[in-house]
Amino acid sequence: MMLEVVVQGLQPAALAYMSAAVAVVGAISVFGLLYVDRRWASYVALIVEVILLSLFVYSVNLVYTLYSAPGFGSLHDIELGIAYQRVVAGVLSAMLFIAALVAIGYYMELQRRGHE
Amino acid sequence: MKALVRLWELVIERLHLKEFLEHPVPRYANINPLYWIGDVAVVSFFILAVTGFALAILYVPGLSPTVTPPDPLLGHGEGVYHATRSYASVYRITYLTPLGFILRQVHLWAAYMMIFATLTHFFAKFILGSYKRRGGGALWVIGVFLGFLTINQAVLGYILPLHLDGILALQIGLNLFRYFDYLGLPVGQLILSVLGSNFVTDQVIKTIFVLHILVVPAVILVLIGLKINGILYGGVSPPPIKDEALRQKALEEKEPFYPHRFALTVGQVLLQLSVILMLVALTPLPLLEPWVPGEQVPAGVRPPWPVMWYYTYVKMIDPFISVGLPLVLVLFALVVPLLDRRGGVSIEERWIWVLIAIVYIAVIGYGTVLGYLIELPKELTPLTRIDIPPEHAVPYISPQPVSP
Repeated sequence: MMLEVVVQGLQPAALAYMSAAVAVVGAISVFGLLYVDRRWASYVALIVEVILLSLFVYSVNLVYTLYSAPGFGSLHDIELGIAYQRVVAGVLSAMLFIAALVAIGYYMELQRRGHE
Repeated sequence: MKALVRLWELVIERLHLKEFLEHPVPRYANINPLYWIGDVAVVSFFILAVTGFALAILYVPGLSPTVTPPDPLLGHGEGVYHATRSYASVYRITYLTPLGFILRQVHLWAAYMMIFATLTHFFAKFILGSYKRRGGGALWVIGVFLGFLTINQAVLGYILPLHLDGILALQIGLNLFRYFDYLGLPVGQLILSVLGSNFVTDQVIKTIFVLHILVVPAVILVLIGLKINGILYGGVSPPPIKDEALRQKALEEKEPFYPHRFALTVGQVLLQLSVILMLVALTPLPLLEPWVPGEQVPAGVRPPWPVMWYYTYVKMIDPFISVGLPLVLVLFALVVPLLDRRGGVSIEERWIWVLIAIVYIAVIGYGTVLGYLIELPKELTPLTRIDIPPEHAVPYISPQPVSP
């Protein structure tokens, strides 16, 4: 008898919407603050990174839970696994994007300082 | 925080990195993408190496028959596919291993990004006339070889899952070697003796696997090292400005690599990884349909975009011209530094070479776009589209043994 795999956690779509909301608001805030004060931009980036990191860890946990469940292997399970992994990739992408914004912002500030 | 700064200073001091980190870099080359698109290719190579290590551990090459479920991304529903061990192995990595999906998708997207960046870097340097500076010719030649190896590496990697598209790529690739038969060079014989067979066997797949994970990357790594060394000591391409005073001014405006360019490079690497992961999340690529030994590649299967332009031309124009087209493009690129020697590097002084660079872009771009837009007119399979080679030519690779 095939065991049905049930994941007790947020659905991939819900996780994706939550992550996207945090990432978009965070990225816009960090980008805007880079023009005002790089220090504050870095603090906000750090907070956003911590929130995204918790979402990342949660999503990775769900992936491992799903794949280690007894009976995993049906097409439905695989599709669910792909959906969770796409969320993981998206969250990681957002984390790296915000870190990249801060690094490039630092370069821009160095350029400004150099011209003053 | 102070302890971290002290540790950083200690690392820099003990590893003698100070001189390297503080070497001056020209400001004009920092933001302009014509100067840093090559960095994208190198970073892609290292992403490919890291993901490739993990994939090489998990991948099992082999032709023995097996069955797999259909690819969930193709949406073909329930059922089973007859496939090879290689395909089943990639299926297991992609769909049955936790985070294996991300691993393979990142490898695939990073490969596409490397090819795109390599081609763009080639055109950028062509337009900038980078080969005209001292030492630039040698770097240009290394770059052409690197571009050639990058495309080869992509095709080799595309073959490994042994899906229908991969087998098509193998046949297209080996057709290139057959071209030498026209010229009377027994290259086909050499390939045959290396592979040990005239049809796809375990030995052939193992050879392709070793070439993909060991031989070609090792050569690429050495060539990248030589290029970085050349740029470090010979400087980046001069700006394409005709006015001597303005050109000197741009060359003299410098800043230390660390922290200026270093911060930008860190940002660029993070941004690149972010773009790759976003592509994985938004547009994951399917594993495609498996190939079974002996099966012909059906019509409608297309090669991947890096070789699509070649496929289009082979189907559209006389094979004697089209099959040799990549060889002509590579050979001409190699002699460009010898032909374009007069004058400065500004676009006004060397507009004819900029035009030739645009012709290169047009040939590749036109073939690629056309390949996706139209149904190719000639119904030729990869095995029959070329005239029968001369009598001394050896049989070429085919999916099944060639009967006498």
